Amino acid sequence: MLIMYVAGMGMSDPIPTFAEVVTRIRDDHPGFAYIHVLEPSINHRPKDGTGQKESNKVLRDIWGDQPYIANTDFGRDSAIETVEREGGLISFAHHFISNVSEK
Amino acid sequence: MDAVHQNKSSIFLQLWALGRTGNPDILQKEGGYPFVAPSPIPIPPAPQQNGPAPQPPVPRALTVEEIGEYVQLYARAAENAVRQAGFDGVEIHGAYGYLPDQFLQTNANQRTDAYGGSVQNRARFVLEVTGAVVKAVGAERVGIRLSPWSTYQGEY
Repeated sequence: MLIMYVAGMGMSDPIPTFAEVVTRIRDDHPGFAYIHVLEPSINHRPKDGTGQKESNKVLRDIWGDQPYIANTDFGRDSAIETVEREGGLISFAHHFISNVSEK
Repeated sequence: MDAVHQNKSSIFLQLWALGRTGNPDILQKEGGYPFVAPSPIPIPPAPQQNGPAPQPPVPRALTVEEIGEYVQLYARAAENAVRQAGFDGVEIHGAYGYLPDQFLQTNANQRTDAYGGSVQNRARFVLEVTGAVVKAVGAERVGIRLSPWSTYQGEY
């Protein structure tokens, strides 16, 4: 069973920190297998619209043509649409987890 | 593992460290392990439908020496996964509020040493883990999972 804590993560502007991580991995570890990144979730997006600015585009641009796996909330159509627009790969999980305690 | 490879697929093992999302009672019971995180900042109480939320336990801040031990534990786990268990690679779980994410984000990291404060310092643990794991099994066998925008821990 999954225990749902609010983990108190989500600092106000995560991009500089995550951009540093992705940049350093790109520069220090050529041939790195992939980065697997949770996209801003539609389901968890704040209702006041502040979430509209959330995007991982900066990370995609840093990572370039190397394997980028996007994750969260994708179905067949949105996955195909995202890959055609952005490239990279999509991962799916929720549909394959039994007894998931949320969603 | 064999069944996966016989069917021409690959399998990566996800490497976790819990930090402040661990359960101190279980850590104690399983071998007297310390309940540790970047800073002594507990997870915020989970909202409850009935009654007040239980107060999550407060972790102890990792020492610099312990941080180095964690880095080496990741490398050993990667080596065990690939060289002994036969996984094709490992994915460092750097998302969802687990230990690496706790170092990255200011909500959980208020250290004043080389592992906290600036972007470079908060990224240091994740990059040291990544470097050690790459050294152990090779860059082409290592991925990392990140969740810049997630505020949650309990789903994956």
